[in-house]
Amino acid sequence: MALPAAAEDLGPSYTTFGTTGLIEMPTAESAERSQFATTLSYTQNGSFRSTLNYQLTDRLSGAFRFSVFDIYRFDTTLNPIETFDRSFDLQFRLIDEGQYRPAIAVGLRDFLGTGRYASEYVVATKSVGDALKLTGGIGWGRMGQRDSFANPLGGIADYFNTRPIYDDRINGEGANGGTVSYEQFFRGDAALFAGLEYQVTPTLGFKAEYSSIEYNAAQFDPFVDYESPWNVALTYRPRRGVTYSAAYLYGTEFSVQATFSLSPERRDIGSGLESAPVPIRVRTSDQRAAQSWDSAAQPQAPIQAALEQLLEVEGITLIGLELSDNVARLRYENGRYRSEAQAMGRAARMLTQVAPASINVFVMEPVKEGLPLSAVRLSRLALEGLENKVGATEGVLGRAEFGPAGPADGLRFSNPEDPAFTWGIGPYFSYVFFSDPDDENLDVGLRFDAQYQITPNLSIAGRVNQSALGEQEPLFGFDTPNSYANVRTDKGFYGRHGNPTLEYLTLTHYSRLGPDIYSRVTAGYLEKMYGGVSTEVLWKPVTSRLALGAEVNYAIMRHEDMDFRFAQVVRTDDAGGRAIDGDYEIVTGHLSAYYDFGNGYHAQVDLGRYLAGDWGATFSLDREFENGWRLGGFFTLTDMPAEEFGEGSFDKGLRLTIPIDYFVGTPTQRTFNQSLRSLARDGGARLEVDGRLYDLVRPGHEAHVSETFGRFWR
Amino acid sequence: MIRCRTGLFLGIVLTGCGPIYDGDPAGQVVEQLRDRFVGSEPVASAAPPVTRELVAANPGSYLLVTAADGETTAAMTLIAGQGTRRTFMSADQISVTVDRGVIVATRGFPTDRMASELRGVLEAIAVGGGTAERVHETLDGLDQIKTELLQCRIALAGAENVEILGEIKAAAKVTEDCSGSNSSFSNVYWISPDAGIVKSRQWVAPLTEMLTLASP
Repeated sequence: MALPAAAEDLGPSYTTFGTTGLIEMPTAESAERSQFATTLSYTQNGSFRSTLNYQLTDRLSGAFRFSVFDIYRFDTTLNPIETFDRSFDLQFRLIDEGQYRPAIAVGLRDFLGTGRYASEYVVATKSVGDALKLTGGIGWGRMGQRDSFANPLGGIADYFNTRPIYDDRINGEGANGGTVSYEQFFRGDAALFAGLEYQVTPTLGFKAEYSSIEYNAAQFDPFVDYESPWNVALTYRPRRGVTYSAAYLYGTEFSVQATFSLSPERRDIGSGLESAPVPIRVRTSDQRAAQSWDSAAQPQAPIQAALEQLLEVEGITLIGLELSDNVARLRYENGRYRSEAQAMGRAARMLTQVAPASINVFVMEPVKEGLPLSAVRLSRLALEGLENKVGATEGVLGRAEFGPAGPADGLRFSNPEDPAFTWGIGPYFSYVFFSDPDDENLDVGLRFDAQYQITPNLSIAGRVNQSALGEQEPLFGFDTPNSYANVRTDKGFYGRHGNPTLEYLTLTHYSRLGPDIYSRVTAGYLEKMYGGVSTEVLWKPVTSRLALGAEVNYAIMRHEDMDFRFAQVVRTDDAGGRAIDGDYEIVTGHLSAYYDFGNGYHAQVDLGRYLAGDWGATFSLDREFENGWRLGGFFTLTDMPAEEFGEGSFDKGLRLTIPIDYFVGTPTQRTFNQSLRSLARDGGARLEVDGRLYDLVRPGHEAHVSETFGRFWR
Repeated sequence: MIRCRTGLFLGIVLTGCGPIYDGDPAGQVVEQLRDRFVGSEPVASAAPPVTRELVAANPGSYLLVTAADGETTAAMTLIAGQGTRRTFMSADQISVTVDRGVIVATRGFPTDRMASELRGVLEAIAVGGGTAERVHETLDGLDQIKTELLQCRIALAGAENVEILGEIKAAAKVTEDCSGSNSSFSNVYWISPDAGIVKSRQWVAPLTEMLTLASP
């Protein structure tokens, strides 16, 4: 039975930096594995932080943060200036808590980028009873300031005695950040910090800490009206996953904060809210004895018509059917279920309702965008014998044979009743995360969609947006002068004029060139900033964990009004002005390798030419959960020099995909996608084209189908 | 038909119209997020439409199933059978599969019993006492099958009359107490001398919890 909410372990609470801990200081606690926590914190003097913390493994967590706060100028006596800052943290729990032993963790705060809060620490946390947690630690860098003392690591090597100044911070405005400040790690003076957290009632808690961050007046350091190292906070946790807190900081100001956490491994909705499948129709032993299909008595046309209707109930479109004496080959397109395994299970059960009794093998061929993805041979006898039995999932998967989809020959194709033309009018809502909160980063309006399926492999699709907010100022942009065109840094100028914007208008053709080779051609207005032609070829055998692809694009920059015109491309000159510099057209392309490690980790390497004409490579690593959550990181290194790239030095970021069915329970293939780029600049920029082959083809292949095979019987 | 979907997000009414928005989950996402962070409203119950006359015409074809809240009841109809297993499904497509009255699988609940193996449960119920084992399968948040082994003790708990759809039946009351690594529960069965298990209160899985079954 479920425990009452009061007795539930709510897990650690979060700092104003959005990491597990006290108020500004960390603790040695870790969140539950795979948990995502978003913290928004705001202080009285106007500083704002939004942080995404992710518990990567049981012990390792990482955080990405966007902050706005005041910093001192070169001359610290002048009024401070506002800065927008992106930062990263890491924490690793070295030792687990025991009966008498505290948990111990080591961490880096703001170790990449401009390092305004750069600190390293070792921290110990021990719980006393159920409600009290005590924490003490030692910090370096910003955490090594209050009542600091000579670095105890100096006893090991002189190296640790002095902390060199981070180069970027000397160079000031010309500095690019984005590099790891490893030369500073654990060096220079250290200081101690301590604190406690007491859970007064199941929902109300109290925190107090002695912070070792001292807000000294120094060039580019955070400006805070600092009186005291003591910080206190109250927390209110109405339910698991939600924490609100209020704190009194530095003896001078109040702050408020909210943390929302979610774990992909914990799906509150249960297993889903879909309707029950139609059970297997089991043949009698006499029926099973049939050796051949009497196609005169039981012609295929009515069987196929009946199956078409049955599959429609499940949101599955029957594409084609081949019946022989012992084998039924079903080609179908799943329009409802996130898991192709679940769609396959539903389609196979429907097939038992109508397939002639002599048929013992079902060959299931899932299709996407007209591409048959694979052929999975299932034993009808196994399906009949295993339904609702313990071990049924392994039993069916173990006997299933995966291979490439068969030829079109032999299939009797159905005439799709679905209208070829679909459309929709709906609202859109967009918000630029991790950006300047004073900026007009919110947009709402109406979206008009239309799609026409010319043939199963060829479609035309378009989208027009109309903002309800009328003309808006350009989004906060970057004006670092460089000798490259503003291939991405001008994105904030696009579609801000209040007129209808053509988001995309494309003609797309997919085909299967061989058993394991797929191709795509997309032409038209491809994305917000570019039109042109994008072509792609992918080699991906059904049972292979490796895939190889090649992409060649011809792109022309669009006009910033986002109508049918192409751009008079703009460059930012040395004086910061924007000058028209003729058309911008470019051929880009990549050779790509994809590898599925099989334990939820997926890697991708792309080598080629980027939008600004720079050459280089993008490396990506994603953690994909079986239920469709996906978190990945990527970085791109190109021959564009760091000083031309500007702040951040090279392109990097995170991307997150959340399957919508995780929230709603009802089956849907839709996902919520968010990219968190530290800074979108001109180097390492790629064309944003919909429907790239790898993500289209993979869900029908062995590794992916097997991962969600638990849903086959759902 | 043109359908529109409405939802409320940050105070802004969002409505989408046209075939592309059919089945659009945006409104549901908003509701779920609201439930998650604000709390949900209880769902209204529905009355069973099965009558004595229908039962008399199709004996053994109906199962009345009441959810853990004790209020939501669905009348399910027999739709499949294999050996001693019978699958009943409601009009809104929720199904329960029983083996001689004991739940072996469900579909369409928030968390389903995906499969079961009963090792001596039916036999111990039939003789009114003993020990038995169960193996239950459920689907976890990551779409993986979780298997749980449960130890069960079955005992006679006297005799009671049960009322099912207006008819009173004399029955023996049998309890089954099971515990495993993740769940522990107490099932109750009312057994009529001529018809076997006529009514029961049985554990399904976490979230879905107990169902009350009655065979009219």
